[in-house]
Amino acid sequence: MVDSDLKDLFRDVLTDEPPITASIQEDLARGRARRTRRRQRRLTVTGAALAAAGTTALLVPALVDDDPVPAASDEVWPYSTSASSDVASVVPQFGGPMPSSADAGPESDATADPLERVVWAAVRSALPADLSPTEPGFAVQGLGEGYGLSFTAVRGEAVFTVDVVVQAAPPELGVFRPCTEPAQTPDAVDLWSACSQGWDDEDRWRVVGHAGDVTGVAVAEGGSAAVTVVWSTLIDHRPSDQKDLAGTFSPEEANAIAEAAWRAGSRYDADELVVGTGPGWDVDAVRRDFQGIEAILEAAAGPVEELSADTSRDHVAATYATQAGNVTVTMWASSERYYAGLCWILTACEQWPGSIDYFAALDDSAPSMGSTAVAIGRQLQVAIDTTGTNGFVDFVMPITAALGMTSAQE
Amino acid sequence: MPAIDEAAYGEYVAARRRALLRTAYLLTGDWHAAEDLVQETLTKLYVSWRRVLRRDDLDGYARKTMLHAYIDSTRRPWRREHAVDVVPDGGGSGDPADGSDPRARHRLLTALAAVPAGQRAVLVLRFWEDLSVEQVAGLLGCSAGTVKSQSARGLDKLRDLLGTNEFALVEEG
Repeated sequence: MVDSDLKDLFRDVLTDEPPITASIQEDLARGRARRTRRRQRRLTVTGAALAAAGTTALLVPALVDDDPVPAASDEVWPYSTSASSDVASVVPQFGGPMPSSADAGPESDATADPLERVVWAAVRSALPADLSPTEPGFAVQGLGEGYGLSFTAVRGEAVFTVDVVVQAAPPELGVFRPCTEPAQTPDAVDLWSACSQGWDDEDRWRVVGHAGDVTGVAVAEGGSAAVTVVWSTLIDHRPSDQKDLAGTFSPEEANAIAEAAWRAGSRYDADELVVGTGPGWDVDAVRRDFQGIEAILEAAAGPVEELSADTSRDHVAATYATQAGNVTVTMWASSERYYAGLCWILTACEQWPGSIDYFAALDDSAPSMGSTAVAIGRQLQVAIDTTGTNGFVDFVMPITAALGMTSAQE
Repeated sequence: MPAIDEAAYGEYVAARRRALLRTAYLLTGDWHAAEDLVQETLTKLYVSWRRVLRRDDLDGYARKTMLHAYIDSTRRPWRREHAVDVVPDGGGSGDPADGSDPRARHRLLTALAAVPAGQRAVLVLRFWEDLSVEQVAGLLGCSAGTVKSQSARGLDKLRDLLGTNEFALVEEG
């Protein structure tokens, strides 16, 4: 008997297979219900955390003051950067020979971008000795304007993904302050835990912390380069209720990876660290898109009347009355910062827990649970608020599909 | 923000439910339990849909989710299965490959049920899903060596229960 025979045995076992009676609508309903329960749990936990931190608010004026930005001198990076010199010593010189490695990855891939190979070699050198990347690193698409690497890591019992993005440093450092300025999102106030931020002894802005239960983030910005390291246990074998970041990276280890990637990236000029097109912002083009949206709404729900339109430097928004109710569509330019935007994957929206400009385009209005936001290419982010409708018409898919096609044609 | 891309999710579920259900049945040996397992898997998939899409490995995530939901379920006392030393013959033809004989199927299922959950998962992934040792190791979060040893033990167990004729030549390299 060979393998195929064993497969035949399995097939025989399945011969009394019943017809499938479950409906997709039931699957959707279960998924929505689970998602709602998780949200409610998060809100409860966050509320309790904020209540417990009530007295702490006095000690953390950034949460309540009108001017929350403390003086730079008040925020000293608590971690040592001395260990980075060890990391730097193994970072290959730009243009120099790549370190030999039997493992597959961008550094051994002749087709990979040279900078990508340098960054990967640096990151690999900074990984803890007992951690093994189970997949070759590869360029991450859609993660801001820069170079991205992504791999899955196994360390003991923990299985987690690691993204490392190297970008040009932002014009203004110290803007991203998740430890003291939590982002408000539709899910909750994203108060980071195990969070530290500050200026290190090389005048770089540094951040390390846990953005929720399953995501860790480390940031290093200064000179020409900015690095964001994101590690997540979301795709892990443990039950979702038991997932956390235990056994992944300590803050020091995450900092070392950010440090290594930063040192690799900082050997390049800022211009060399920009990949892809700039965010761009052509109000006229966006207005043209809106005319298309009006037609889409009309096709979906009959006659449409534009109730209001708002075109500003930062965003374009319009509210339409349809026979199914009112729909508001808002568009704004994607940020080039990996951590800043709400939506950071293409043609869908993965909510970034540290988003700092999510509601900038929505005039700081309260987040609506009925809003759906998507990223359209690297250029545009769109929020579609259908809370004023009767819920019987799907406006989101036709709009995003049309905009996605437009973006793809550009 | 209620919406994931439910249309895409629906398409995926429609395309993959049957395959998931079959794998779940081989793991659990019971169609109702298999349906429960698939439902749990699809619910978790919905919750994580956007992140999983980003990884562009829907099947891998679904498999992993199902696998660990299954292993978790076997740890619950009311679902724990008890190993048997001898598979009841039931007076059938004795040829487990004869799919027309429900008694033979019962015998096979009983034998599979006697294989510990982790080993059974390895056997199903390796010989039904046709995954490589490395792929199974990635799903289970263990080494390739562990997969090989678990597979070999699972096959040994089946040989013990069903006789060496059927399984004599199956080896896990």
